[in-house]
Amino acid sequence: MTDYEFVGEKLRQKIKGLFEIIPKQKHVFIDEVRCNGCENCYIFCPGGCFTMEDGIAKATHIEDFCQECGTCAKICPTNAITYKEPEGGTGIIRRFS
Amino acid sequence: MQTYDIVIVGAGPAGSAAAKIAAEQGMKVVFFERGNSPGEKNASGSAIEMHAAREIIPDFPHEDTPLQRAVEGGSFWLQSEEGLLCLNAFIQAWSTEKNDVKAYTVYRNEFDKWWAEKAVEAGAKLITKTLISDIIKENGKVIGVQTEKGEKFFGNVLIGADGTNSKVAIRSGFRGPWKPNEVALCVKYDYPLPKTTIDQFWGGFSENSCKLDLYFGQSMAPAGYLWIFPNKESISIATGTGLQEMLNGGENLNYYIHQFLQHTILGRILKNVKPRYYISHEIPYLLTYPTKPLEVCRDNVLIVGDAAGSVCNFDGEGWDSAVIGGKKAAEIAIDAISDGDTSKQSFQPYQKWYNSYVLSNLDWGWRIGHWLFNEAGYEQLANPLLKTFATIFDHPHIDHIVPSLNKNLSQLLPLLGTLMLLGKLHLKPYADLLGSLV
Ligand SMILES: Cc1cc2nc3c(=O)[nH]c(=O)nc-3n(C[C@H](O)[C@H](O)[C@H](O)COP(=O)(O)OP(=O)(O)OC[C@H]3O[C@@H](n4cnc5c(N)ncnc54)[C@H](O)[C@@H]3O)c2cc1C
Ligand code: SF4
Ligand code: SF4
Repeated sequence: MTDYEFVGEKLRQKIKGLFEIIPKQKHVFIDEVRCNGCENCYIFCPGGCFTMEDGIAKATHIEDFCQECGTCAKICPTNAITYKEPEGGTGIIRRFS
Repeated sequence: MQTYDIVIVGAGPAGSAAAKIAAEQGMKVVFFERGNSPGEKNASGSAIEMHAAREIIPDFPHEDTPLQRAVEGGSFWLQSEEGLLCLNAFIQAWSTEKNDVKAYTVYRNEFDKWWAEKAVEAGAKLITKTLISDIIKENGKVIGVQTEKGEKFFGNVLIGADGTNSKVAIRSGFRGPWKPNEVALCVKYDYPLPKTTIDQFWGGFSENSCKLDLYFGQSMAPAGYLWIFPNKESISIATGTGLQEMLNGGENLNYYIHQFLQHTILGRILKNVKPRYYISHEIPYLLTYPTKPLEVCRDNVLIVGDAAGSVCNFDGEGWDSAVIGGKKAAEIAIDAISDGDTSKQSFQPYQKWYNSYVLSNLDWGWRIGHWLFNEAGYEQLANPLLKTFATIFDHPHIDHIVPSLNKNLSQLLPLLGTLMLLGKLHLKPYADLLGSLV
């Protein structure tokens, strides 16, 4: 049973301010035609980067929350997600890691 | 056009180790890092092991090496329906007062930067803030790499040390992206704590030492474990699980960290402490029994470290094999370049090393993991001991204690038997056996 307390917007509230990101461009994309609404990306993304809208996943918070793990693309059953690394010198910066 | 003897993608533990070894032998080396500085994108526990560090820097550590605490022991926490059993081990042989340190905790953003500097001091050229977006091929063979801005770098040998989502490994055709049963996701929180509190709960024999905590339990890490690594003035709490296990009814990993804080003393220690950092990262986790080794060299190109999946699939440790693999790859590349033959055939000694070192880790990891989670089941291990303690405290009459001890502890014997058998199998150089099969 998914506990939605730790997913999407609610997760973003919990981890907000706990990392630094140099935002530049979006680097995770969803092909909405392929999305079957299974919620895998939405539930498991450790950055809470996705939002479900009318049964379709939207990558709404990539620039400001993406941890660059690459998991979303691997767990999408329809290969709707393309994960790319952000441009050199941008994206997540880790300290105390 | 820029031409080098060896082009390396990634300035993590593997890439910088390879760059240092190759540059020391007079090779013209370039290595790339997509972060502003090495380590900025990386994460780990992180226990770095001395034996591996000294393969690259014989007099490791130096005075300015950014280390946190020496590891002198560990606690295994096993959760079952009877309660939570803690096996605490401070190991004399690991005591840093009398012996050499075995491992240190580090912050990767500090440590990887220092580690890469050693390669630069040896003469390798480091290019940061640069994402390698593709490899360049000619007549089907890899001859260089291209940056996202279109700049090209050519080399006799390309080493892919670009981590778990390695472009070099994927674009050169070694493998596809890891499948859900080949990789684990981890999340980690860093909590600042006063040094005295850390010494009190996690301190070891000597100054700046510690023990690590590993928690096994259905409610906090159903398909893996949760760990606490102490630093000088912070602790990190992390958990991870295979993507396949996650998909089979798991929760977002943050849920398990929350459960853990709710149900253990940590929740109380950290009651008024705000985490100062959040991190998540993947680790290759080859759960399938390693019957067929991954191909790790092709004409002109080798892959090392996480790119090659060289992480123990029980404890998730990959630093040592990344570093030693980086060194091996560099040495074999140097030989190949000086012989004028950088074909896949000439790299076979590297494949052989991988098949023995990495596969024996995977084999050991698979066996111990299978034993702990399936064969013995850590609950079955914890239950008899917890019951014994309960009996001792509940029925202080010797007539009750002895039969209870006999009954409960005898349940442990077969499990210990299989564990010892596992130990024996591991001691036998299983690696050579596997190596000779390939
Ligand atoms: C949470 C966690 C805890 C861990 N704990 C431990 C532990 O306690 N002990 C242990 O031994 N191991 C641990 N590991 C595993 C260990 O961190 C890895 O096995 C190790 O870092 C692998 O080193 P690497 O050099 O192969 O890859 P990485 O450390 O991933 O380095 C790859 C480097 O390449 C760069 N890069 C990637 N792609 C490109 C590109 N296209 N262009 C330019 N640069 C690029 C990255 O930014 C990075 O700096 C842990 C891992 C995690 C995630
Ligand atoms: S790469 Fe990781 S953090 Fe980024 S959107 Fe995908 S799952 Fe979320
Ligand atoms: S995992 Fe893929 S199919 Fe499922 S919701 Fe996300 S994008 Fe849609």
